[in-house]
This record gives sequence, C-alpha cells and structure tokens, in this order.
Amino acid sequence: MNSKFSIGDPIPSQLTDRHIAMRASSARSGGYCVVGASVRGRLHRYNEVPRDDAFAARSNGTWLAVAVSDGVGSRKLSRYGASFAVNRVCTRFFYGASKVKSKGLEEAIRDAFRKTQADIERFALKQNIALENLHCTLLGLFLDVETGAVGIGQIGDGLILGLANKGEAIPLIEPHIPEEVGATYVLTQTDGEHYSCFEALPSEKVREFKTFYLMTDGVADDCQYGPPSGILQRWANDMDREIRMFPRAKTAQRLKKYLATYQVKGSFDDRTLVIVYRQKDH
Amino acid sequence: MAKKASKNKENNTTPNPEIPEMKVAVGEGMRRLPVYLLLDTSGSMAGAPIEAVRRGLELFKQEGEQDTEMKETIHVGIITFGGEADFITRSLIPFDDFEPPALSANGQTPLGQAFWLLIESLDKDVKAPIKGKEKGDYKPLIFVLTDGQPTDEWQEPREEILKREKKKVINIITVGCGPYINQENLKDIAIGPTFNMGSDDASFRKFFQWVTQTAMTVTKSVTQPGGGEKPTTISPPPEGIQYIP
Repeated sequence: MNSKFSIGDPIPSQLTDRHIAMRASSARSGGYCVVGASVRGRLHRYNEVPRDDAFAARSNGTWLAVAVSDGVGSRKLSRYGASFAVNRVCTRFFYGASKVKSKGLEEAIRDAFRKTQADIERFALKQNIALENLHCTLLGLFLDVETGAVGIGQIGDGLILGLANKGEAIPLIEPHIPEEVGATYVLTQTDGEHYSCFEALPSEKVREFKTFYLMTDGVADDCQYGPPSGILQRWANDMDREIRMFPRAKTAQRLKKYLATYQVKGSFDDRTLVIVYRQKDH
Repeated sequence: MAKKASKNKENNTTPNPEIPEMKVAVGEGMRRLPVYLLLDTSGSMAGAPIEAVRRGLELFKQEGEQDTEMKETIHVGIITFGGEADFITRSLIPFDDFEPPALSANGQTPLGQAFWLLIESLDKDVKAPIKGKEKGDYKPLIFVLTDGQPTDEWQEPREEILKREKKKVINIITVGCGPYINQENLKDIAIGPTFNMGSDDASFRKFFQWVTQTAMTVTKSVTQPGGGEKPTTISPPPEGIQYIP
C-alpha cells in the first residue's frame, strides 16, 4: 500500500484563516513524486495583500490527486475559494473513486468538480458571504499510481501540460477561454460546468509521459509565449532536468525560489506550479 | 518539534539565498494594455483649451511614471483631429517612450478620419492571442475627447468600431467638452459610455487625471490573478465630468 498524505495549502474553516505568502511542499506516492510551490506575485507583494493562488496534493494510497487554483484578483476573499477548491476537489474525487470502474474516470472527475462547486456554495452560505467573493479557477489531475491511468479537469485559465519521454511538451486539455483577453471562467459561476473540460488518459498513453505540470496563469503566461520560439518545450525540459537534480524536499524549495525570483516584464501575478514526475526506476 | 521547525523553514516568506537556483528558460512575450487618446484639435480648441490638453498629456505622463505596473503594461497611441487627422505616435508606443507632443489647434473636426486611423491601428498594432505563440494584448482602452460636431463622414467608421465594441474587444469612452456640445449629437457619435465636461483648465486636468486613474485601475485589474471577471472596469469620473445617460 502506498503512503497517504496531504500537502499544500490547508482547507480554510473560516475567513480569518491565514493564507501564507509562499508555500512549498513535496511528497511521494508509489513511483511518482510531487513537488509544488506557490508564491505571491509582484503586484500583491507591492500592495501588501495576500496571495490568491492555492495548491493541494493528496494521496489515498491508490489515487494521487493534485489541484491548483487562482482566486480572482478583484475579489478580496477569493484566496479562500481557491484553497477550499483545491482541497475539496481532491477529497470529493477520493469519495467517488470507487465508481471510476463503473462510471469512467472522466465522469468521476466531472462529479468531483460539480460537488466541489456545491461545497463552495455551502461554505459561502455558512460564512455569510456571496459566492462571487470566492470566485476561483480550478485545475486538477488524478493519477492511479498502480495502473498509471490519469484524468484531468479544468475550468478557467492556467495550463495542464505533459512532458513526453521523447521531450515533447503537450498541453493535455484545451480549456474554454473567453474572447476577452484577461478574463477567465471560474468554478464558482452559475454556469461553471458548461465551461469545464475533462479528459481521461488511458495508462498506455500515460506511459508516454514522464512529467506532468499543473500551473495557474501566473506561470502559464510566462512559459508559453515567446520570444524565443519553442519556449514551452524548452521550459518543460529545463524544469524536468532541474527537478531531478536533488531530493524532492530540496526541489520544492528550489521551485519556490524559482517562482519567487524569475523576472518577466509585465508579469505580476501570483505563481503556482505543481509537478508530478515519474521516478526513473518506475 | 524538529518537524515543526522544518515545516516553518519550508514555508517562510523569503527564499533562502543558499538554495541553488533553477536554470529554467522563460518566455519574454508581453501582454500590453493599449490606451488610445483621440483628441480634438480643431480651430475651436485654439488658445486655452489646446494648451490645457497639452498640459493634461504632461500630467498623464508624470502620474503614469510613478506607477510600475502602468509603466510596464501600457502602450500609448495619440490621434489628433483638427484640419486633418494625425496619428501622432505613428503606432502604439511603450509608455516609457511616450513624450507629450506639441499641439496646435486649427481647421475643422474630421472625427471620421480619426476613427479610420484608430481602426487601422487596432487591426495592425493590437495583437490577438495565438495559443502557444502570442500572448495577445488586453482590450484597448480608448478615450475620445471632442468639443464639437464632426465635419466629415463618421457613420461608416463608427459602425466598424461598433462591431469591435460589440465583440467586447475594445472599450471606448467619449467625452464632450465646452459650450458647443450638443448632447444628443454626442450620443449619436459615441460608442460606449458618454460624458460631458467644461472646457476650462481645471476640467481638462480632471479629464487627464481620470484617464490616468482608469489606466492604472485597468492595469491593476488585468494583471491580477485571473484577470478579474471584468478587466476593463472604468474608474468613476471625477466631479465635473457628467455621465450622459
């Protein structure tokens, strides 16, 4: 039996809970390692306001669930929506994982997203605030560490990327994006399900990948767009090389430092990146 | 206890300088916020009004320089219309490169020509997002300031701009100034929210402060995580600039 764990931002119980400015964590499940980090962006640092991004990774022994979320910047409490969403989607998926065989992985993830949205609504009600105060995106990846099957889900901006064994960087899902640049769909909008995307990758397909990246738009915007051309592939391969250089605890610290310090003109967002990578002996 | 100490170390607020850096390439693609100012420089603006517009542009430059996000994100396009329409900045230019131009007022009010120059620049200079290749620019913020009636054909270019406005790819604000403004006519010309203000020095100063404030607000909004649900929220105008319902 593989180890169970829960890392990343904790689920909030009330709206006074602290959401620290930077976080980095790592864990291992079966033949896979997870490293994640989230840091406050330049604008939030300058204005001395909290980070709005969040991430979580959990394992129930069989399934590894990772999620990242970006709380919408115009809502002062959205960080609670983000940290609630990333944790709850993992647990909701675990609750329904026994039905993966009968319903299929894609449907199980859709169901986890749907229930997470309903849970956030209840959380907002309990906290006596309007749901839009918790507006957030949600990206999740769910991996059966025994069979290697992977399912993903996404609403809103950000990127779920796979790095193939041969070095090709492949976006794994094509999320709905509003026509207006800079706008995003969110899990918490009433018709959120309409703009959500889900995908199941069979284990034979997953074997073609050595590394998966989940990131909020603060990172996705900086690694996808050139110049130079081909930057996404270069970024993914550079990152893959770097994460395998040191033990995972140190890698998480290096990742946090990288996210907190790399410079791109016009890049002000919070940055969150979670990486799931297969160890070489598996 | 050791575990707690380790956890605190892991989540402290400043990265440890002793941690070896990752060497990972990043993209240099930049998302810009285009800000266009279409300024009436017709003969009726001669004297104090045109001087006030010039000082207003200086104020826009001075105040914008104080704001890091605005400076990095905004690209400016200035189009004047007096006698002939003129795209003074030639294209969208980085805020750092923008210098308030010398302005003179003369001739009639070719707003239609100015609209065509705007359309040409929107199509040529504003970048649409291309997945994996081009980040794309934010929705342009366009201010039109005029003190009178257009003297050329403005309906056709207005229709062209309206198509873009309906697709939510531009955000346009029209402000009429001075005693010759007919509010009903201004509403016919305008696309998006329409305002009226005086033509004295204080009014122009307030107008340009509002432009700066709106650009700053939009910059903060568009550069925040997720971009906000409505990235181009316009700042409420200051006292003296009245909304025309």
